[in-house]
Amino acid sequence: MKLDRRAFVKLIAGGVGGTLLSPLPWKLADDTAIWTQNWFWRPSPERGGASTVNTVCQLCPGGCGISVRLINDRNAVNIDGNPTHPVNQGGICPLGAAGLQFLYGPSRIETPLQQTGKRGDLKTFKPISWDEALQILASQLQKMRQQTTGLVCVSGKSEGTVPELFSRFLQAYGSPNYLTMPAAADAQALGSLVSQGTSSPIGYDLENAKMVMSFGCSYIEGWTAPSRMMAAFGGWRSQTNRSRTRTVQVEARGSLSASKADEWVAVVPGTEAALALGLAQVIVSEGLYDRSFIGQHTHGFEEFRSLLRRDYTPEKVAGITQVDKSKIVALARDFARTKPAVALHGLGQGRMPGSVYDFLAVQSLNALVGSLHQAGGMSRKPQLPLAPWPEVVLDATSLRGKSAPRVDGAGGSQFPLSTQVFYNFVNKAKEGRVQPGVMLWVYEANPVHNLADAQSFTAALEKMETVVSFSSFMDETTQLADLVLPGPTYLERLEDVPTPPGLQYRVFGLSNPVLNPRFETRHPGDVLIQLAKSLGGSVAASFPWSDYEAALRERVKGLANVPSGRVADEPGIEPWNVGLGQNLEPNYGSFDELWEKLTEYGCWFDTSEPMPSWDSAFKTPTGKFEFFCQKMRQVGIEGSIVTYLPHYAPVEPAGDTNTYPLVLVPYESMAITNGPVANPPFMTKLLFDFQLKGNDSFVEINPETAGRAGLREGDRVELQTERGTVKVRVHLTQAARPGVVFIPTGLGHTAFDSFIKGKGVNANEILVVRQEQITGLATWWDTRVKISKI
Amino acid sequence: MTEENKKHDSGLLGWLLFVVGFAGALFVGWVVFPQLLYTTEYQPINYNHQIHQEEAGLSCEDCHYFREDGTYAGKPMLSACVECHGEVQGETEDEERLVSEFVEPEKEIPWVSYTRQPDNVFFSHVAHVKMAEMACSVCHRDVENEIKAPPVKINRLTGYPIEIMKMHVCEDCHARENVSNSCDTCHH
Repeated sequence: MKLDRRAFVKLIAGGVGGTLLSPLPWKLADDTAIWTQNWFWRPSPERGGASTVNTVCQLCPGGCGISVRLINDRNAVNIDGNPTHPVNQGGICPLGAAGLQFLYGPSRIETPLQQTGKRGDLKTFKPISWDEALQILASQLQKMRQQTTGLVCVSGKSEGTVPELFSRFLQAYGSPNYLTMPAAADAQALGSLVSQGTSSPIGYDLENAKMVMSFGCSYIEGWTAPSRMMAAFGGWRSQTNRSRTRTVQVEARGSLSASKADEWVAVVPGTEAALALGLAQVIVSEGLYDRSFIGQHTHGFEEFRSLLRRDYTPEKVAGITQVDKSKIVALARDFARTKPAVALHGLGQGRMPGSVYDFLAVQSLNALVGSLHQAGGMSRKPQLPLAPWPEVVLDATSLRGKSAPRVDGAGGSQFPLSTQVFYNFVNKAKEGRVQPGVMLWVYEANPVHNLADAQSFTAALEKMETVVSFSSFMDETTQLADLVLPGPTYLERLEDVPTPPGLQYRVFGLSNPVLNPRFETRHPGDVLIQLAKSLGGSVAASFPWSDYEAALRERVKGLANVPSGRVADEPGIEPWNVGLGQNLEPNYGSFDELWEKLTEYGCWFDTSEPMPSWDSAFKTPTGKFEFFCQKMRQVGIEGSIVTYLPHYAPVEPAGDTNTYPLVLVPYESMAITNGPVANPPFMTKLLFDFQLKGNDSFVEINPETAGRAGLREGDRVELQTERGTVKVRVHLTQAARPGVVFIPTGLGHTAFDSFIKGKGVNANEILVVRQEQITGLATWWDTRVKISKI
Repeated sequence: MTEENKKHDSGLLGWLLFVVGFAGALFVGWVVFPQLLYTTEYQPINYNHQIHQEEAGLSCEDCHYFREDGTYAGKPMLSACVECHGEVQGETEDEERLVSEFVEPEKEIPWVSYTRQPDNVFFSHVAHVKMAEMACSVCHRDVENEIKAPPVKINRLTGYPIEIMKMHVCEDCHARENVSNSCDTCHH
């Protein structure tokens, strides 16, 4: 007997046979497959009981009610629309739904940071304690107390108690230099001031309108309060065919808003106001205007009528806008005969700044057809009956600061009307024409990325002695800060969200913390109160509260003291159907009960403020609605009679037409956010591959324009303007007006985290900013551009 | 020995070795391998299902309940135990340990799970227990008369307990009961 090769093979063969008949290979293969699904980096949600907390979204000014689902009361796993909230009616936009990526994303700042090296170097940011951070800031502010106007604050929010606290701090400290990011609201406020005598924001009774004419407003792509607009649009479209609300979109691009409109009017970009005046001329010349309103409650109609007759005949307007003469006449008749009809102002998402005359033109169209301060028309956003805080305590230094000229020249001899001229500040700072030792605070804003002519703001930052950021994220602006005082995200903090832009009824949203702050962040409101206390004197006296919550509660008490208003505690509330001027029976008995219900549901609303009556609506010198704006003349603005009337006053795009033959227009969409936060990865996934492919973003051009330039779909091109160049790819589409290049905004981040940055280019790097002569307001709607294949 | 015999002899040995190899492999595959593949974990303290039902009069739902939103709570939290065992009542060592090691320091009991669904499975207890009226013991071991909670065998490779069901078990039952077997019934 010998163990030879053959016998050994048989042993192995038996082993193999036995193994195959045992579970070993099969079980091992199966388990190995399962093992590969469970590697440690795969996220596995914690198991436990679910609960839902209502709060209010703060990712845009829209103020939607949201419900956040938590597991074990500490892990947020989902955000949905809150059906009891009247603004969004349970709806939610992609940004709101992706909100958890801000809470849990890697670009969160975890502690206060001090820049110990060169600005912009992330490696030399040193984590410091809150005590240290406040100590550093307080001692610098003490040193600057003789130069208090050197404190400049840029806020991305214009309404709410936290921006009010910032503005209050500057007042108490002694600086007039509180700025908000440039927006269409600036032009609307000035336009309302000169024509109606009050600068309150605009409200539209859209749910009750029968015809909506949008002058460049992306009305279902994020304009004003996005979810409110989606709900309103749904309302218009669910009406029966005969009386259905119709929409007309005046815009050069075949946007989603245009494609969903009953009519799309593709004007030359930048001439939207001229078309509004063209319609006005037809309405006036054919006698289709509201004679009783125009006759009794307006001033300067004859001057306006003469101007229209001279400059805005259908022939002339057709020449400017390249819209058919017959189309202009038909639109005008339709607009005048449909009651109520309303014209909308505010380019793009309604935050893109523009000229005061553009606003006056659109507003005059509403006035002519009797849609001003009427159901279904354009009115004012009602004020909230919040209780006032005690007066700011001023000492000699802050009184001096109060009367000092502003850093941006607003209210001075050049811009007597304006309350702020943002780009004057940017340009002066860039050129080193501001005082030395400026300390810049940036709150809820990312101007280094979000402002057109981004390079100029970056250059301006370089001239600032100190830059302080209150951001929750490592954004482009915060990267360049010297001191970072990170705030909690909106899901971790208490804050009020006042009536969203464009609404006709009162809404007070309360954003509740749905979970404990994840990091060592501190509420900016608390930071300001603590800072004021450490400065002492009148600054401390102006901030008498123990913390931000105490300050907020004090204001909210005002809501409990008015006889009307309810906490929205059931689904399907439609305040626009109640009728403005109707009192609502409160569903709370005391302030404490109101506060408790607010923290549970997140929204208080009220319809008791009526549309202004004719004897009180206009605070102008004549007490009437002024086509001819006396206020402009009063403050010393000089010019011909046209200066004081609504007219088409284009600020010519920079650059000559030979070098830059095409026009570049930025566009905003619901799939890319433009706010202080960057586009979350979930939303970037929504983009088509003709918008973003890999890291290349696309511009839209008409096939005809592309043909002339020898371009084909997907070609890589260089866009050159007077400001700079960027490299993009082209997408050919009939939705683009010939001769115009459309570029998306909100892409091209260079900060945040690896999931966000480097996606596409930032349109703001090549947009050229022009300023309106009389107000200094900026616009960057159209820029001349050259496109060349690379 | 003739050449032929030699050949035969070595053939016999060969076949013998074949059987040895075959039997050895079967032994390794069926006996040794499972021993190696699974670790045995013991519950931190014993839970006597029988005594809780018979003497304390508890029903299954007192501990294994559905939450208001319809989700299934699974294993009870310590708060359920504290309702009765705030202080030691009986004489067992396990109860003494329950009070001293968990109730008093307010520490959750780290029960070892006998079964667990993967994260990519959406499984609703409500749909099966309330709507389809299935008994718990269709899928889980019957604990009615259980005095000692058995140890849990955990697969070293996958991390799942041995009692876990494979997908075909779900599918067979769904097919039998005429319930959809499309992917998105369980995987969203």
